Amino acid sequence: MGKRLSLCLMCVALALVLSGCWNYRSLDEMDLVVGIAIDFDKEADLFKISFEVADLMGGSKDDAVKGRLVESEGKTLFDAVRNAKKKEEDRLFFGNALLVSVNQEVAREMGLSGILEWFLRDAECRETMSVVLSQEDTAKSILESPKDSGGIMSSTIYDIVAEDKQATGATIHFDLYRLYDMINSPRNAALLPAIHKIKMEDQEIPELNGIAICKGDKLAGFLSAEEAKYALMVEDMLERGILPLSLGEMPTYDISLEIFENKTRKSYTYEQDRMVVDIKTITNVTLAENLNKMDPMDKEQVKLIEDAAQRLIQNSIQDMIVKVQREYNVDIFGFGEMIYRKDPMLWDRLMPTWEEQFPTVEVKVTSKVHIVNSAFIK
Amino acid sequence: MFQLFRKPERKKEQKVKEAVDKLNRPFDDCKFSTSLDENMAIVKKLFTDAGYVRYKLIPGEENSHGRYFLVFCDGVVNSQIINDNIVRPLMTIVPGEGVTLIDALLAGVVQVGEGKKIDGFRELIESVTYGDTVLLCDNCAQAATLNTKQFSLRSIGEPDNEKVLVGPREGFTESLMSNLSQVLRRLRTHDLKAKHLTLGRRTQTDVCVCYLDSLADKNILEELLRRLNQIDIDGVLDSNYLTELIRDHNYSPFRTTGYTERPDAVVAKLLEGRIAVLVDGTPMVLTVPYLFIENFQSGEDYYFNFYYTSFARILRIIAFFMTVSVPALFISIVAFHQEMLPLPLLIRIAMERQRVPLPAAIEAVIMLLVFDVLRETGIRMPSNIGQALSIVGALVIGQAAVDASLVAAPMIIVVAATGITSLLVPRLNAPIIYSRMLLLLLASTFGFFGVVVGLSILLIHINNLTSFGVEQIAMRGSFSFQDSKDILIRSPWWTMRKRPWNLTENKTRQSGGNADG
Repeated sequence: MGKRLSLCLMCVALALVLSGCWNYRSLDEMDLVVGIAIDFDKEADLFKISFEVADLMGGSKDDAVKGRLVESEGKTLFDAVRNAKKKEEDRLFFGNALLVSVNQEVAREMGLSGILEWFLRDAECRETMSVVLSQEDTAKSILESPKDSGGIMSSTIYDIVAEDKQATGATIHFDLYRLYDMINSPRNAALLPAIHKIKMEDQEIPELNGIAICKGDKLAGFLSAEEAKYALMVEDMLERGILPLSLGEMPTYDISLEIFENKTRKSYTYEQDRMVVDIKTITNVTLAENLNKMDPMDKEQVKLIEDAAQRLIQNSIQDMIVKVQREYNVDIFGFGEMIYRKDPMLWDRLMPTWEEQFPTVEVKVTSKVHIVNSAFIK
Repeated sequence: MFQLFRKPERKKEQKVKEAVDKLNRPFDDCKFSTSLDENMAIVKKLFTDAGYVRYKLIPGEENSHGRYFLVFCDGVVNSQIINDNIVRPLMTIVPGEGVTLIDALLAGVVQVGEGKKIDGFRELIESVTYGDTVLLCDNCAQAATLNTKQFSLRSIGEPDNEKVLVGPREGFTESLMSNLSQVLRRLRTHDLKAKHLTLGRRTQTDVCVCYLDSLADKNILEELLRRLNQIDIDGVLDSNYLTELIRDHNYSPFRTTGYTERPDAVVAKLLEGRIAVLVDGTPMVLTVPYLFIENFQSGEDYYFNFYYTSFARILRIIAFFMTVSVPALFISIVAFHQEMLPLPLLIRIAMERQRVPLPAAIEAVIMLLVFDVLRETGIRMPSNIGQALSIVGALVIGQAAVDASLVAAPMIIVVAATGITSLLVPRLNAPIIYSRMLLLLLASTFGFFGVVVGLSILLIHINNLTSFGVEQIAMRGSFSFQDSKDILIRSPWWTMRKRPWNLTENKTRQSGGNADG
């Protein structure tokens, strides 16, 4: 029995010695990266990458944690990441990174899929990172935090983008892995939030500015924040939003309807070489703001409002889709994918000529709006 | 590998034992001779230099009686009984006719409730040292032991280690008879059996095995008696000596026999079909067989409202799990799997760790040791200093260490949580300390993988534990509600109709409206 015990102990000791403390990473040797900004310097032909890192040394326990930008350059993305160690004491740790910000030029010329693919392949990064497009000159500028404010900019932008569909519906947000899937599927398009900077009290802060549309993986155009709401509706991703209406003759807006539920159903028919897409939306709203002083109990007036809202939604969706078809010619809502899902043989036939056919697709929108309650006061 | 924890075979060297015995006890097997002078001489020789032994020689009178010789130990006898009931009748009353002189004396002269005949010096030594008086007379090869015991004992009070808020406050004391009397008073039935044994060669300690005849499992009883009779040791001072000599799984830190200091707890266990072992000289009573869940039960559970005690019981089980695994989990997250934490928490912990010189694993080990030292100090010191010291130690030293940037603040919190949850399950003190260290070591080396391996080892070991053949955790295929009524929760009394299935054959505890079983 003593022999057995000592044999077991020896095996355990051997196992410990042979494998060592593999993978032991001490927290004080790590730089916690929160956001990554990707730019490209054309003259030097180098990637210039900025990492926003949580600043662990500065500040006392009571202050909010600040972010610090670490810049680095390299011939490829990974090269730039490793080159950061040339001036950083600690190694970069991507396990909690939240945001990737991409320069418009990079998106336009090089395309996104190479970048997305690197993030997916790397084991340390999360697949649920957000990707945003910077409408400023560099991607780095939106990560620069204004003076005298605490907080990490990437974290703020991530919160803005992630919670957007529950607040305003000003942009569309997909995780990194979904973006990659969208580019490589028959849809062959990507939708990113677009960020620009606005001036507020002599400081510049980032602001959400609609959707950036990518054809394939290259940037093609933008949709405004208003149009983004209807894009979300078509994708059936809208959870909350406001519909401002104008009832009176004047174009001033005087009614607000708060959307709290929206269902969209898309279907298509393909006959005589033409595709007709049918989009039906059913929206439940509450009457939130009533500057017109109309009577919410009056059934006639309520019907008026509902009709106005329906018209608004139908027209807006139609206009937006027409704009996408004519100006950008990108099948962002996956009409082609709808054909692929239902009838792959048909899609095989259409795919080579889909670029010419997409602008001719006819879209019919029917909306229904129900005003559920109005919480009126006397 | 787990065969390491089975009971090892003992090799006895019979001849060596006998030789040693002969040296230690020269007159062991001698019987009394018929000559009183010879007996007196041997007794005085046996107790040379034993100043506590007293002799009284009552000289013979011509017409009434012969010489009588009394041997007793001062301090453990009731002098009044000796004076009034033994010496006076011996001096005045003439013994009648009997088979032997001793019979006649016992029958008519000596006025003591309990008297027995003995015929050897070994019994004389055992009786005299325990408070009996031995009476020798002329021309008689037998002697009488008379019960004159009177010990000075601790008065019955509340046991320190098992304090309750509501319920009986009596605890056992050091006298076997007194303890047995407390059990007897609560179980007024002829069913209560008590088998006496004497264990320990020099201490000759009385040990009493109690059980309820119609409830206890006879196989377990037999096994228990067999193991007790096999014990061959110098002295038995405490029931823990017995535990270590008769238990299954000799090398496991987990308990396989229960112990308690409270008579109501013992009676409750007897009523479930368990067997209790009372040992003279210690208030700790062993109960056998022992189930794993008893580590988390306390007698007080049954005196409180069952909602509250169910919650308390679940809390104790969670506390056990926490105290064993929290340091290991913390180290494995902070050192290996940082991506598990949400970003704000990770940043806070990272900021703390920047200022500290030692790696997290070493810091955890040091702080756990410091906490254990403080706890032990608090227990051992006299009460007034002890309390202040623990508070001072914990607060001031911890705070000072954090301020001096020697230890990170989250580590203090983790260690405090570990220490405090360990106080919820005092019966598992020993296994907790070792399991915690094992898990911490594995976590520092292998991260979550190590934690999982360590927890698996613990789980497999606990599952294999048996107590006198009864599995401590019975993972049968099926899971019936009846089995779990007293485990995770404490069901109210009106639902507990049956006894635990694995302890007894006689299952019906109470028959309410519809008696089943």
